[in-house]
Amino acid sequence: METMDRAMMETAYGLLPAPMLLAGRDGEAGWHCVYENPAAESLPDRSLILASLTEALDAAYAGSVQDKCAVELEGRHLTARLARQSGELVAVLLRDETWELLRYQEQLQAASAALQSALDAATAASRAKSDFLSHMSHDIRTPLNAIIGMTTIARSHLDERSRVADCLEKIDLSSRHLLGLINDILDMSRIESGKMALSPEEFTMADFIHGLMAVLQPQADKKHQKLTLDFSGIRCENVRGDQLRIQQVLINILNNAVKFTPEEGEISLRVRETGERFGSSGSYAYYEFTIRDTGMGMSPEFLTRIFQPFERAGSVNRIEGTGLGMAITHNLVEMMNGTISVSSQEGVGTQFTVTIPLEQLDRPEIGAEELRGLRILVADEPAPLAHMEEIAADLGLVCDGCESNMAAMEMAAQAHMEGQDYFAILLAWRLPIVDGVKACRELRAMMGDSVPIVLTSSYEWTLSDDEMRKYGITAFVSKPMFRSRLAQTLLSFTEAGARQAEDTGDSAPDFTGRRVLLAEDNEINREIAVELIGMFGAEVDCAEDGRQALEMFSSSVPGYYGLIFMDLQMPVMDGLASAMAIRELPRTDSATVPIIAMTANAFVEDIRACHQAGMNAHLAKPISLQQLTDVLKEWLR
Amino acid sequence: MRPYQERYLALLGTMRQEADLSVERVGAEAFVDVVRQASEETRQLVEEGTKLLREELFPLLDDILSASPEELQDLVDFADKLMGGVAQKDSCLSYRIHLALMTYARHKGDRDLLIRELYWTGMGLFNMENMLAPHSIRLYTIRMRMCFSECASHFNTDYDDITTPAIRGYIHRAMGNLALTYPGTDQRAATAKLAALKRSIALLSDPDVRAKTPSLPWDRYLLVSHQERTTMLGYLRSGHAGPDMFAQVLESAQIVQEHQLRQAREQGLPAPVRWQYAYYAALYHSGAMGLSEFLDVLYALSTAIPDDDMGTQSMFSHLGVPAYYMEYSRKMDGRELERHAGRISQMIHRMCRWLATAITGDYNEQLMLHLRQTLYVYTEMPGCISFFELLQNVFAARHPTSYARMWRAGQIAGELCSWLIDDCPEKLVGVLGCKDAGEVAARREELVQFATTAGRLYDAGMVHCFGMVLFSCRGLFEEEYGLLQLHTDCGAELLSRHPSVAAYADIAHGHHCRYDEKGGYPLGFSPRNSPLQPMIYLIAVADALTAATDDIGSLYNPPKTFDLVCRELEAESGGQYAPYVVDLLASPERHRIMRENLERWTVEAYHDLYRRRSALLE
Repeated sequence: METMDRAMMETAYGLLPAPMLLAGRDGEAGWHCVYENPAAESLPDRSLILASLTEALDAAYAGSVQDKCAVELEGRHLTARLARQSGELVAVLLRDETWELLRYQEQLQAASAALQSALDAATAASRAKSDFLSHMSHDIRTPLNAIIGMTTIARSHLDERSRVADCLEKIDLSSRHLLGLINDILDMSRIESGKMALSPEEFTMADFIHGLMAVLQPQADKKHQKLTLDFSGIRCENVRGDQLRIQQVLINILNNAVKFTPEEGEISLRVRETGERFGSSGSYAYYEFTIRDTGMGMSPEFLTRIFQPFERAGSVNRIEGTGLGMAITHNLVEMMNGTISVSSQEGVGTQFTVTIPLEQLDRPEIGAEELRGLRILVADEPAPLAHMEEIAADLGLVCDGCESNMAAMEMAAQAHMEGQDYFAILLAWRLPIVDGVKACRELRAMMGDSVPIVLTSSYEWTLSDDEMRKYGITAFVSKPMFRSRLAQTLLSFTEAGARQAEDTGDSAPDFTGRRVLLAEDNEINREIAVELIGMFGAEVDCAEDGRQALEMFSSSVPGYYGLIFMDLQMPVMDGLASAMAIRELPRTDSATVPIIAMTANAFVEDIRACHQAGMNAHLAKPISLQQLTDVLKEWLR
Repeated sequence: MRPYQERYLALLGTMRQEADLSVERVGAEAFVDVVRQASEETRQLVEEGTKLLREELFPLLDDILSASPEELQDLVDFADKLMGGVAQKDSCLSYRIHLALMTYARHKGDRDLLIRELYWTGMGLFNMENMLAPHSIRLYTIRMRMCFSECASHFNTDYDDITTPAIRGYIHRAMGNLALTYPGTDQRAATAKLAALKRSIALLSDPDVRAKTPSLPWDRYLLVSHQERTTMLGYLRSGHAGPDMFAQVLESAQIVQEHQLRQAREQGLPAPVRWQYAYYAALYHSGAMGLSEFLDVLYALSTAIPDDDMGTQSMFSHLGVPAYYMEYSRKMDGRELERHAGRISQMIHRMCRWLATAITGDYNEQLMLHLRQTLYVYTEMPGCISFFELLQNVFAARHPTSYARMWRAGQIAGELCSWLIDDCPEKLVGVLGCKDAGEVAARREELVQFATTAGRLYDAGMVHCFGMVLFSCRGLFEEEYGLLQLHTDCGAELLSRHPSVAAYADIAHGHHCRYDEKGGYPLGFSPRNSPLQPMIYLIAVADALTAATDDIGSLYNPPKTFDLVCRELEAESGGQYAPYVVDLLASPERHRIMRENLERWTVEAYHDLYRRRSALLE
């Protein structure tokens, strides 16, 4: 009998999914199992199998392939296919139909269970949606009915002003409520169908949080709720993200906080960066927004379902809403690759934590060096004062704080007497006894205009620029105070700040030391031009006609004049002729000195003639300050 | 006013009469003579007008700070006459004068004059910018805003010190006009516009403010602000409009509607078409009327006024309503839209007829705005005329000499293209997807036709410049030259909106670009980035030839001889123009052929123009 190498057998038959035996003859004694593949592990006794297949084995050994040979053994039904292999071996390929049947049954059961589960889920979702639709159609119909009803009432009582006013009030409320419902549904639909896309943009945390407060503060004020902010954990204020969606998430949570917190309750918002920067460029960071309230809280059971759509807390007396707000919030946070979690205790309060990754935009540190060591005086309530002192310390400022504007006045007076005025004084507008405006006026009366006084307020600013000037207020900064805002404001009071303003063109240019030649025959025009150009510090030499201008230029040293203003209509020699003659002069600056035509003539062909005569640009007469500024900045050497 | 000012206004009136070519029923040959004579007279008017301004007006503006009170008053009167209300006579010149007066007022510290001139300078800028509508370019918006803002800010500072009612009136008018400085259709612009109007309306309605100057036409100011707010109806369906915006816009629509109806009843007239449109548009935009129903109403409005009525309501009915109809019907899908093809076709036919019949001298910017809107929103559908034909009809009706010029340019371009295929077909590889010179030669007819059509379309953007070019009796000012240059961008945008002519957009865009890329316009476009590059250079030469050698309809400059133009082309070969195109005219034989063709085509162009105008009137 030729024996097969075991390794060869493994290679040939080891991976077969069906059970397989290799049978070898035992001379006249029958057949024995030489090899079985791993799939044969589950078979009953192999010798019994082979024994029941003796005839088939003999026939296969004789060269005839045997197929569908039945074997009944230990309650299992097997079928075998036998074929002689090389040498003396016969391969027996078995199908365990019983086992396969069982397996199929198992698979069927599993699939059936999965389908049932899916069906249950779909049924539940469908039921939830049906419930939602039935509630929603009720919720939509109700305000619509109210609108139609109120309109009918109003129409039939047109002469009753108060009745009409009442109806209109209800129409207004109902229609806004309806719009809110529809917006929620549309948002959810967009999210679920994948049609909502994020729109990242650059924004600052300062502006963002101010925006949140602007929406929330009035609502909290109505219920006399205390709203506190803590953003001391923000290191980088400039970020990129979908500001609108982040705002939507936080406003939703904060609105709920206001809604479900009783009068005089407390709501807090803390914003901080957590963890290290990450991302391939290391420019991302997680921003954590924690909203805490002392409201009615939620049951543990509801907490498990809070982010499911169409769910509303059963314990709540049908407070208006679709039940979609939290689902939308959750989906939005997930879209932004963030996380949201909630903990709550009934009767105690709730805390939501939203963490969103944002790209940090590195901006140059604002004025840290320039402000280092400067002394400022700050008057405010304890909490904002502490925050201000922290920021000031971070900026390297020396900060003297006090909790009233009265105290600030005393401290400023003392410093003034000692000849050591503060670099800047920050007064809170709404402090008791003496408000910031009054304090500012008193300080101005005492110390004049030398020290900048900044008014800080968390209320909407209503003073105009004129009023600020009248009261002597140098600048206004709204609270909550961000590091960047404070730094920017104080920097503007330094020389570096003033220079920066000049570099960016915010202030008038200084041409001291430069000289301009003005050719203008009209005396009044000359006077005005000299006065305007003089405002920039430049010296002006005047010629009364084109010939005089030519003579003055040619008799000057090269480079003496940085620019020539040339009126076109002049006696003796007009501007065009004078410009052409200047360009012909054999001197180093004759071709390069800028010559600016001054004319009211706007015809394109005439302006082209100016350029052809060698002029560089033209100024429309009568000249305006803005035009003159632009021309001098561009052309004066 | 001074004699030169009276004379200039008279020249403007004469100009409008010269532009009237309504005597075309005299026959094609006689028509050519009519055009030739009108053009010659126009050139004389332009020369005289330019001379008047150069010798009389500009020296005064040069030394305006020395002007006497009488001279100043005459200038004010002259500028006011030039602005001219709806039929603006010479907006740009008016703007220039007001700008000078504004600067004068600033120098002299004349507050009342400054307030007045800030307002009118802002209006001048608005009129100039409006010439570009509905194109999206905004040239003067910021300057307009600065003028109106500064004027309006006097309400907060020294309103009570102003004793002249009219000056206070300018402050309120400027406040309302701030809304004009937010022309965009995005949410930010809409919000800003609404805020400006809300402020203005609140003040105009305030009884305490009114009591300070009872002689001012407060109701008229209020009506104008409400009319402006009603123009925001189209924004209500954008999806961004909130309840407050709805309330404000619909309130204004209601107020304007009531006013117009009341006025019509008092005059024994039917309700004006324009304000019927506003009423139904309000219903549609507020969701109270469906689109299909609204379109039915628009169609009815478009046929409300007889075709032979040339008044303002007729203009709106024949021009404005079709534009709105097409714009709204774009919201429909293909099958639904096709049902409207018949109506659109009828409206377009009536529009073209009305245009041809309207007295061409009775130009006003409102008419041109409606016309441009129609061109921008026109939807080509089975059964309707093609956009190409529509554009040709518009040019034939409103700018006949431009029509003839482009007709000739088409013929020239076709001939040049044919010669280019003969001489160096490889230059056209890439055009219309031609892979090699062999394919270029094989597709000769198609390429020549493309070049011919390109010539008929390349100056499509000139629809924005009709008034500036046709009705001004002077040389162009800087501002106008800047606007004129924008015809390339405008033409490209206009053509790209219509599938049947979108292929020619690059040619409209780049035909004034220099071959050597050292200048030319517009900035930001290079023919070298276009597969149509050789065609663009062909059209550039065709344009130079047709514009300079037209001895029938040249409005500004006397025609040049063909030889002179060829010498100019050669001088700029490799600079302004592509050398391989200029070289096509190098041989004496081709030179002769083109000269003879040009002479023939010049007459044929005007014959074709005559036929087209006659067909429009049938």
